[in-house]
Amino acid sequence: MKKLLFLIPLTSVFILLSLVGLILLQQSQKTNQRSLKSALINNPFPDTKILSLSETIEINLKSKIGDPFLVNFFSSWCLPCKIEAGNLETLSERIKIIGVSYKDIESDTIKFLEEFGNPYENIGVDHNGHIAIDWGVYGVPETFLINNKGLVILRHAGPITEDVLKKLLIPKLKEIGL
Amino acid sequence: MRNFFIIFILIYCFNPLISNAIEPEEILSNSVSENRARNLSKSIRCLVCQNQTIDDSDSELAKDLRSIIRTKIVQGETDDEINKFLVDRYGNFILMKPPINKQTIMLWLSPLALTLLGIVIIYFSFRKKKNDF
Repeated sequence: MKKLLFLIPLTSVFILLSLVGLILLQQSQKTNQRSLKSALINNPFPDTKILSLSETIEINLKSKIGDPFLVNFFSSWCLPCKIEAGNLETLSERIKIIGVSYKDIESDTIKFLEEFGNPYENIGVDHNGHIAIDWGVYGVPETFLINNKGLVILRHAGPITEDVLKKLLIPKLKEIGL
Repeated sequence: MRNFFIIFILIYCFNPLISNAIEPEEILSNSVSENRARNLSKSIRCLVCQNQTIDDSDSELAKDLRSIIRTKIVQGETDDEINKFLVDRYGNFILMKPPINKQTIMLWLSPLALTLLGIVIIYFSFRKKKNDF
């Protein structure tokens, strides 16, 4: 009986260490910003005022509700944005993409689009990074998929590589009938 | 040489007290509002350098978040409203001290559980020694 009693703390240690290990594992996964779930998922996209590039007209994102669309934060100074440019062109054949030029000089953005292609239906500007914060953006590039009801259903932080396109975006687009 | 060494040690020791990432142009003229902004910034995680607060971080995102906090303070928003604004966009992870809920309960209870476990182990080991005598 005494021997059995001694098993209690040992079993407790084992269970607790397993739990601590599990939490640490989850935490280590969580600390990877790309795996952090966006707080916007399944919520309406932020109703932020976005001014268009080179013009002073406002891009009315609400008027786009009804059809799914992508919102892509990018910048000419961002190297991964150059990497994803070709894949965004591919995506633009299936879905409308709204680009938001993040903390960039307008002439540099225009040069970037001339050089790497323009997959965007509209391009907005975020000079001070406040629009990006409204969308919970960590850094560029970052892409959000909005469904036909205006809800954010996917967020991808980082470039849309060939792998991301095939394994994440295309299947998600198929799910919503695109 | 000796003086140089002493100065170096002093700078090294006091560096954490004098260093922060806030630039002069960010500081609000109203000291009460500025204190509020600093206190809030110390409770907000820098999301791109995760073990720092936005008060300590030099990252662009931290700077933008500090700027938004100050803008909202000037606009008359309360600390709770500002925290809610940030949590709504980045989740509870943005808070250095996450609230107690289903997802964080283990985080809060594990120190207590480990202390209790320690007490149980000590109790049993003492009991065993007592029985041995």
